[in-house]
Amino acid sequence: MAEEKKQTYETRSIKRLESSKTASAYQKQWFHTLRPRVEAGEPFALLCADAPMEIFRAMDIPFVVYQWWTAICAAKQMSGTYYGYMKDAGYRDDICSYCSTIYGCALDPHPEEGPWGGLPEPSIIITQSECSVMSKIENLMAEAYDHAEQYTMHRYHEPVITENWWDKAFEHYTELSSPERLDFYERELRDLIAFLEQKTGRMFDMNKFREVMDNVNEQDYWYRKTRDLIAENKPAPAVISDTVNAVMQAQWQRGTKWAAEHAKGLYEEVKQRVDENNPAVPNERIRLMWIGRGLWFNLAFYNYFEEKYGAAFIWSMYLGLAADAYGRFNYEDNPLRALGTRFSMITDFLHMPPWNAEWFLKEARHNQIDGVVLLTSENCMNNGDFYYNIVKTLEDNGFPVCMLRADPADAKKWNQETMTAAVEDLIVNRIEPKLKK
Amino acid sequence: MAIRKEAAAGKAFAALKEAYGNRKAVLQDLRKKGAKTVLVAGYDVPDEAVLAAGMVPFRVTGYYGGPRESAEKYLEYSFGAIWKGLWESLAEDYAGLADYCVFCGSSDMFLKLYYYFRTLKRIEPERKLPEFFYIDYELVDKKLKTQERNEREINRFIAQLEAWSGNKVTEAGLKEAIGLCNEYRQALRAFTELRKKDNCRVNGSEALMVIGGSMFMDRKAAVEAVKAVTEEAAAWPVVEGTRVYYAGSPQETTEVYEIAEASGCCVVGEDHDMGDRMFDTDVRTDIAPVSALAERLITRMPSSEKGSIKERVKFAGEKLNETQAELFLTYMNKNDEAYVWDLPSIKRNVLEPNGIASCTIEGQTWPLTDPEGLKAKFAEMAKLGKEAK
Repeated sequence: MAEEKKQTYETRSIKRLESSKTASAYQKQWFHTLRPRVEAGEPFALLCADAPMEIFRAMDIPFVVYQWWTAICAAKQMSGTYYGYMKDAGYRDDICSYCSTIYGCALDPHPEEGPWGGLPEPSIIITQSECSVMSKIENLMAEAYDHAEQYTMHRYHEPVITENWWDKAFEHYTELSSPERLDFYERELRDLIAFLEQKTGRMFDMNKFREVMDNVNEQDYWYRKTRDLIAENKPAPAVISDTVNAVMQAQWQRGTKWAAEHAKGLYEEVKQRVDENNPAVPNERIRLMWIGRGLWFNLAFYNYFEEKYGAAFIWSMYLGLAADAYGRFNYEDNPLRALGTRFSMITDFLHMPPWNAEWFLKEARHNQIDGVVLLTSENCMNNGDFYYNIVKTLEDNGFPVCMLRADPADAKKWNQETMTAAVEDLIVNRIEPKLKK
Repeated sequence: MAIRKEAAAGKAFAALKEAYGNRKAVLQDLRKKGAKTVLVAGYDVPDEAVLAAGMVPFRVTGYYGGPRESAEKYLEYSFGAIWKGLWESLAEDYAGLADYCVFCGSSDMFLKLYYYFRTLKRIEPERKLPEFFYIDYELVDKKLKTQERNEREINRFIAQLEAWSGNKVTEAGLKEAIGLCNEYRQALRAFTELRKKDNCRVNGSEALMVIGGSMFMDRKAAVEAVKAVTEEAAAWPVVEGTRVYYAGSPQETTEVYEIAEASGCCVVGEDHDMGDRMFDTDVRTDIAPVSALAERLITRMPSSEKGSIKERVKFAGEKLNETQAELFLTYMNKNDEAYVWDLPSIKRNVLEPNGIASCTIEGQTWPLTDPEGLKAKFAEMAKLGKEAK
């Protein structure tokens, strides 16, 4: 079994927000109740990150998003253990880490020793044909969890490019998609529901689903307001080492009343900081944007530049996307169609050109950003969001970009010194001279 | 061993070699003649539909003429050698040589490149890029809804071809094109019979050249050339060497096969679309043409990238048996490594129970960073295969 490398630098971030702590505590508690439920015979699903979890919520089928589980394993410094199991079984331990960690978990002979009491054995695995490697890992995962049934959802690309997608996402989402694509995803959802009904013996309740959709709208309303508070206040009332945890863990409970209330609580806490003139980084001089997956095993990295340079990472996709991409209104006629546009387009908005670059630019402007750090996932073969276009779009509009190549899931490959130097170079040589002008 | 003098001396082989080695010249010639050419970026585009529209399908392969500067500038490191080559061809080398280009999702990277090119056209409108189209198939799930989706996609593509060509694609035209393409595939299968164990007259490098060369020819001429080269090859000397089955990254030139075959191996089959996979099944002629074209998409041999592990295990057993290979090679370009997830299952279920050796070569680039090292690995592999036997 591989051993975790001992860290010589601080990896625990400064937690300034209660909301961040309550999200972790709630999630942990929820997780501890999960195992007994599963052992008592309830269904339990592993989902890929882009799966329409609202359907599972409406059917009260507990689930874990396996890429988010990767983040938990990384944060608990346990990833290396799982890569070790994969290596022992004849697999590579150095590629596709964001998606393969879960396979390592499936091979773990002592799953109860995993984070938060370990992942229970799933009965359902929902996969999506987004990446060939993911599909193969999901095949293996389904084989390892031999009681689980794998169900694959499919994708359909978008032939129409709509500018400023965020202006249409809430009210006019059907204009973002071709009619063929709208039909396709509605059918995918209906097929999924049929599968789940058959598998679990539970009937899908459209009224319950509407409640879930309403809760998501409420949750994301508060995220928009929180994002706006951070964007519009200098110095910012919160930074990403707080918000990524608070948002991502609550997103895991998306569609529940608790998540909506938690999002409201986050807003109120951030608002209070604004009202009391209590910024996250009082000496804030520089506002940074983090594009890419969160650095889960080392959230303290974001704090490192605060004291020394007054540089605060205030933006990440976790709050930004929750604010702009999830809300769907006017769905009374067909909430499934509305959900279809949500879960099909998130990937496009975040990873596909030109949607992604245009949105990053809009967010950089709104958040009064001075510089951008873009993390590209080192060993993800599907990695590629047309970074050339992202960098060009941002830099042509006055936002200097520093690109880091690293593995966000595997702490043992992280080089603190090199990465710190790269961000310092951005701050000292590209942002500060600009600010002095 | 590589391309043997007996092969090179044949008239048909020389014609195929010429097309294989001078792909751009073929495209330039089509342009000069005013042919309506459709650049094909994907391994599942139905050439039959292009031909039925009175257009010419032309497979886009990578640029191998020198550094791929454009690809290095625009693409992320996650794009392996094949994809960087394809970018360089489309963005630079073939610029202005064709008006249309069709992608399909044989690999995730084709979709990604389609999105990138579509954006490149927006941000650099002065570039001489073709009009792009994407056929959005489902290629893994074998279900009725897959068949229906793929039929819809083929019909959408046909409508686009009609708009491009100004010609109506008729059922009769499609049937005729299917007949021609089936004849072409059958001719290639007859040729590759000469890679079989008891009468192995063709090595992997020669096979790649014949298969690839025929792709860049007029389809009728290709059928004749393949039939002619099959006759020539029957008289080529018997090939010796460790019989290797190749799985993994497509080989668009003979370079890697030549190194392997100069080191004591003989590649007797492969799972990529510059080789055996391109012609492994025909299109049915007893059902409606569009249905038949769609059906073939999910009855082909599972691709090394898209195929499920279960399918790949089954396929490996069948292919090793059919080709009587002594070694199973998995060859992967850097960042083109989906295949690595198949291998332990193939080993456990097929190779080890049958005493077949295997070898994995990873992290390869173009140009090859260490051809000498590769040669040594292949020599070792040749020995390993014989010992396992």
